[in-house]
Amino acid sequence: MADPVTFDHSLYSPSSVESAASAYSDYLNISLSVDEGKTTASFTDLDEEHGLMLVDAFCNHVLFETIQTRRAEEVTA
Amino acid sequence: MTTTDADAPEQPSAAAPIELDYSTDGAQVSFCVSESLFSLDAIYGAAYLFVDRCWVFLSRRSESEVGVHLKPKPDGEASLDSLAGEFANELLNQSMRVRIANSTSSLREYYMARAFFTAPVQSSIDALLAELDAEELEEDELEISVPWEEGDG
Repeated sequence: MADPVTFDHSLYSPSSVESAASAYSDYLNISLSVDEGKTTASFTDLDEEHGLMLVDAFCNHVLFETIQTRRAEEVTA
Repeated sequence: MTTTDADAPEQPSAAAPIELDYSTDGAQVSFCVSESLFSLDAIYGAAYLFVDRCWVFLSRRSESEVGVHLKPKPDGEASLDSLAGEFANELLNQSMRVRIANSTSSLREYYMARAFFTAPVQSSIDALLAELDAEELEEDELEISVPWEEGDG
């Protein structure tokens, strides 16, 4: 089982975490909990062979979404 | 006016090693980036270029420090040491890009404003066509426009 991953809101946008969790819902069982200034993602029923790699890919996706969202906001600002 | 040692900016001593301080656990490389040196935009810019090569994760170490964790993808061939070095180089690149973008933003805005909001000027092609339309064709003294059959006959 993978350790929970904490996304700090000063680095990752909460909406990007939710968006990525939705995108990966077919591959990972992700439960999100929002705490003060951070979102924690917990993973259950991970695939033995590819589970950890999918968690890494999910984290990459969150970062990618965050950067894209931030840049889009800068353009429209 | 004299400058005392206390006023002078702190210089790294010649004996102190100047190198990227990173740690590895065999699977990933981690290091700390200070936001007083590199803006978050620069960190994002560098991270953005690495997401296709490795798994990138950012963590908040302290109020002004960001932890960067890079883990090569299964098909990646780069070593952990070289990944850290390349990321540090890219941080410098991105930092410079951000600085240039900020310093030239007013110039870009000026050009955009000028391109979009200046009065339309008739293009040179339109002007030439209008000139041709207005021009009266002169008589063909050499009869160049007469077909050769008629000229010879």
